[in-house]
Amino acid sequence: MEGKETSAKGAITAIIIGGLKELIRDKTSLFWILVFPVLMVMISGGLWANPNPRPTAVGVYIEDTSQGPLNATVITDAMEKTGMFTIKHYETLQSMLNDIADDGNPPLGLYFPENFAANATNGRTANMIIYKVNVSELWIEVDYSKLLGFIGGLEDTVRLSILKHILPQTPRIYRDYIRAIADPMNVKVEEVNTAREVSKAVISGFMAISMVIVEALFIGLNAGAAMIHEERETGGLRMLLSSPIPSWSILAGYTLTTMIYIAIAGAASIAAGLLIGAEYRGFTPETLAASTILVILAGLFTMGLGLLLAPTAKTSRGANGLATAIAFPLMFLGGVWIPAWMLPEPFKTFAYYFPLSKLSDAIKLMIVYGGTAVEALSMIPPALIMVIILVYAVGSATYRRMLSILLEKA
Amino acid sequence: MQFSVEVENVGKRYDGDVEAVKNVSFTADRGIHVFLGPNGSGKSTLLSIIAGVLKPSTGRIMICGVDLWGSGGLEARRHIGYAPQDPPFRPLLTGYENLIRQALFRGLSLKEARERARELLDLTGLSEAGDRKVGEYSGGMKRRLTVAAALIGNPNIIVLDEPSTGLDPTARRDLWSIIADLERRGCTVLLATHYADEAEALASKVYIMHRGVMAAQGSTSELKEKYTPTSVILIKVKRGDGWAEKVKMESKLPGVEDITVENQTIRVYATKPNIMAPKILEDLVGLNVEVKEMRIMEPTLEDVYFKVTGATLGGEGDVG
Repeated sequence: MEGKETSAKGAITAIIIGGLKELIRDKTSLFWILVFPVLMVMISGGLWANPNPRPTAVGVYIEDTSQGPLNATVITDAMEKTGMFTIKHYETLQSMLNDIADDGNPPLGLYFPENFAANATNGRTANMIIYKVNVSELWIEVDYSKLLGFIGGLEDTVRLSILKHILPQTPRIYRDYIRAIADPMNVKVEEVNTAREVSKAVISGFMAISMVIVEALFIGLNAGAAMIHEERETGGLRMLLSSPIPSWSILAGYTLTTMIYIAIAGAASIAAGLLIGAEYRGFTPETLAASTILVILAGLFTMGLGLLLAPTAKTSRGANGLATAIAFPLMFLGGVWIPAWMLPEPFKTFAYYFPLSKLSDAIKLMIVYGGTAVEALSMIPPALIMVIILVYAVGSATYRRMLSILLEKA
Repeated sequence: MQFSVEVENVGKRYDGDVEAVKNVSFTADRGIHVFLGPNGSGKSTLLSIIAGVLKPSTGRIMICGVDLWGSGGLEARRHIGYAPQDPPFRPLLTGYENLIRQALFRGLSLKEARERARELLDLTGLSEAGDRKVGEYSGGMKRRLTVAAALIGNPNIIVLDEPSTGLDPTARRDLWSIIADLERRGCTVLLATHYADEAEALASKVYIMHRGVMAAQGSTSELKEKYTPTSVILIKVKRGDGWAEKVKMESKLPGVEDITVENQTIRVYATKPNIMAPKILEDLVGLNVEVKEMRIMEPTLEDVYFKVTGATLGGEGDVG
């Protein structure tokens, strides 16, 4: 009996040591486990966590010579003061259009024709033309939306200003109708203050923790799906089967190795978060222990899913391809990388029930928002833990079944 | 303790009707037991079953008195060291690390594993290459490492599947010396090969495998005495028609035990080869058959194989 235990312990140790050495020597694995999370956190941090978005360059040509308090100069000055736009004035419309056409700098132009100020001030339709460079680029669309948003706000202001002037001169019976035409819906917006300040530090921390779970998703699924195929292809499975070790110890060795891979990738993600200024408010021994448990649950769940996928593949390459094909949509639609509240309605429901999204939220509550371990763990319903254990257990049974099939066909 | 392998009515049938091993029985206890047959004769399948990596469809295997596929299977496997036909290594680990991995699987402590790994690298002539990744090894080096891996747990029963394939003549001789040493230490070695010379050099007992059946078994001398008690006149011809039937007529001559013809090779089993050889040559020339080679030789295990099965060791044996 003692001998059996020694062999099982030896097998687990052998698989872990071998796995770590292979990780160090395999550039592809190193990329996915160390470089990929760092890149993702840093690039996403640069894109999404910038609290001072770059101002949009807008070219302006003012032809208008009419007078009025609401004139082109007042409007463009207001645009600059928001900090969202940098204005470049042109002497002629053609020179502005040339610049836009030449290299898309500025990407947008505003043309104020004659009588703009007079019309805007006197309650007549004031014309204005926006010129937009004709290229399909995300940032151009963002800039364009910003400009439209600004002009939309300006229109509202003008409309209400006109209304204020003409209503006293209008017979009472028509006033409500005119008010309704000019301002069909009187929407009042109130700001709600929240303790969850959305700052660069918070967003960076949020993404770093998301990346830990993303890595658990990819590593667990791939390891679970490919491990038996890899051993079979290298011939190692024959050696394992001819050795005096129980089959559970092989699975235990691979599971522990996978957990170590996830831990390394997680540490890299968290370190990358620090590099881009993430603030982790809740690093205490208790939250660290609770987070570790939650990451282990994430790893068990994804590895269990991978083990369930394994029989559908014929080679380790096929298994890796399948695992990655499943992991990618889950990363985006399962509330793992993109928060569930940002997803379209049907996916929101899916993300709500997807275990990794809950685990990720609980870890973020502790590490990013400073919640306690008790608060975080209370977010995880017992049914979710049961589901995770069930998935891993069924995955393990599938693995044992595959082994016995291979014993028939090896 | 006796390190015995008892194989009782073992058969292996794959999906469909492919029967790779048919009702094989034997007992091996100490010595070198060689399974001789071409690719597909069922010898690798049989050794995989004995090594515990392939479940038999029928029959039973007892290793040192314990049923390999019963509840004591893990205990039985403790006695076995297995070198499969395809080297089973992790290419990113070094030869030394791969051996340590195997040693840990077999229950050795890390200290024991390190010592044993270095010892076996020395024994198999890989001590200099031990710290290189296995992915950089040649086929012959991987083969030698496979043998080292089979010996890592100090097993008493060693199963070697085509261990010398791909080795150069020197390395092959070195390997034979290692295997012979295992026999001297009292181990039971089961070895599959398609090389008749390897079987002759090593075997205490030879098992002739053909199409999944154990066609004959015995010591080399027993098999030769039983199946090829005569000398062999080997004739290789270039071309010609109708000569095969003519030559077979010669078998009725006194002193000729048998004549076999396969492709363009004729084997005449004769008690008086010096008298028969000129006569046959004369007949072939008369038939306008161009003779490439003719020699008189003592029968080998290849001849025995041919006599028993009607096939050569270079051919295909039809099944896995």
